Amino acid sequence: MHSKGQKSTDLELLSRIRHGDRVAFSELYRRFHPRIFGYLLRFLSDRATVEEVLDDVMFVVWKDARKFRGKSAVSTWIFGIAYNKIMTAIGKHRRHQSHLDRKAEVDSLIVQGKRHSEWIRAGLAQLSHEHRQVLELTYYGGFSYQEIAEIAGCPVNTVKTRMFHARRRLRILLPALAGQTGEKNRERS
Amino acid sequence: MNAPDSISHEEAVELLPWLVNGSMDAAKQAAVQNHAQSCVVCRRELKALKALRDFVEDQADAELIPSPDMRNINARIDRMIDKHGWSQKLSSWLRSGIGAPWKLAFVAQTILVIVLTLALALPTVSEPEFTTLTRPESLSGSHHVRVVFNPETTLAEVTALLEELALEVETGPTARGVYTLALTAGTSAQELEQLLGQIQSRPSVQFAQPVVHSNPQDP
Repeated sequence: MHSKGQKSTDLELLSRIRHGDRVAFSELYRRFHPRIFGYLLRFLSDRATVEEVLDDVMFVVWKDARKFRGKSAVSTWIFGIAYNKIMTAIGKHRRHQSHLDRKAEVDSLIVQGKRHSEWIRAGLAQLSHEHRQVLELTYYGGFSYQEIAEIAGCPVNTVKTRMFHARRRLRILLPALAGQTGEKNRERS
Repeated sequence: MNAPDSISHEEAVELLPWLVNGSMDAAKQAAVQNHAQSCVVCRRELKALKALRDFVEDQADAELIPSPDMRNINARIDRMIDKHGWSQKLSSWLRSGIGAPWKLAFVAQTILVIVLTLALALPTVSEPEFTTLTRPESLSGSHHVRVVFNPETTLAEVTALLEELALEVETGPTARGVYTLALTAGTSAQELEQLLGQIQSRPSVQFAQPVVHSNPQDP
């Protein structure tokens, strides 16, 4: 998913955007739209919200193109903007959603889940957002741990530590979820 | 061809996710692969991580991504440009009469009035990160503890402490190194106080405090 070969072309587009080039901006928008949309969709289940937040991300790209210093890849910079927008959006949503609602969401996944992929989905849903971000940026985004550190604005060791704890938590959750799924199926039969 | 650099088991385990996604430099990749060839724990973990990667990729393939619709963002940019155009006219008006002291005084006075008005009108928002507890009764209903470890504490030491005290990492570490640990549901205030004492007595722990929830069911 992460294309290092397009780096110079993304950079060239951004340089033109700095000078107000709308055509360059349209091209960059269309190029990043699928990846950023998919990334946002992992954390924001409502598609209308995803579209809004995506526009927020790309508006920042337009407005702050001059601030990009070129120390990272353009994709890392854009994903960093998206990361912060997600954490802000999740924070707002969480304030309106009780713990019981979140548990109910996961319970419904468990009841429906029969296949291994559904257990993984339920396990991922139970991770904290920081832990899930590291996993998704690694496997969906294809980023290195150094790039994830830039995206998340934290040290490299913090990224490795969050990944370690996310994996540990999944190891504990997945067998437990499999056990719960078995119990729920037995209750229903 | 040079032999791959050697790598400790701890470091190899940490780097396995990025071996799987192929994003590491060649030297590190070779070192981790070399280690995994002779480590059954790492090989097992690699298998699990590949399954996780396959799941994420399958999900990505199955997603319906709509075509880009730039109408809203173009309208936003147009509005921004219109506002910017207005401020450009204002700045050229100022520049045309830069010698006129009354223009400078007017602008300075206007800026001062705006700043003072905003300072008085806008509420200050402070969100304290930690709450200091003084009464044991306020601990009841808390299901989480915030902990900061000393910088030199290794991941193995953190894991050992968590396993010993039956604690789970709910989230963290944050950029400042704060972990939020989850306790077993139904932990009484007295049990929490004892547990806190155990955590705080460890040389590896710099700071530990229960998280007080206004709604006990909120994490």
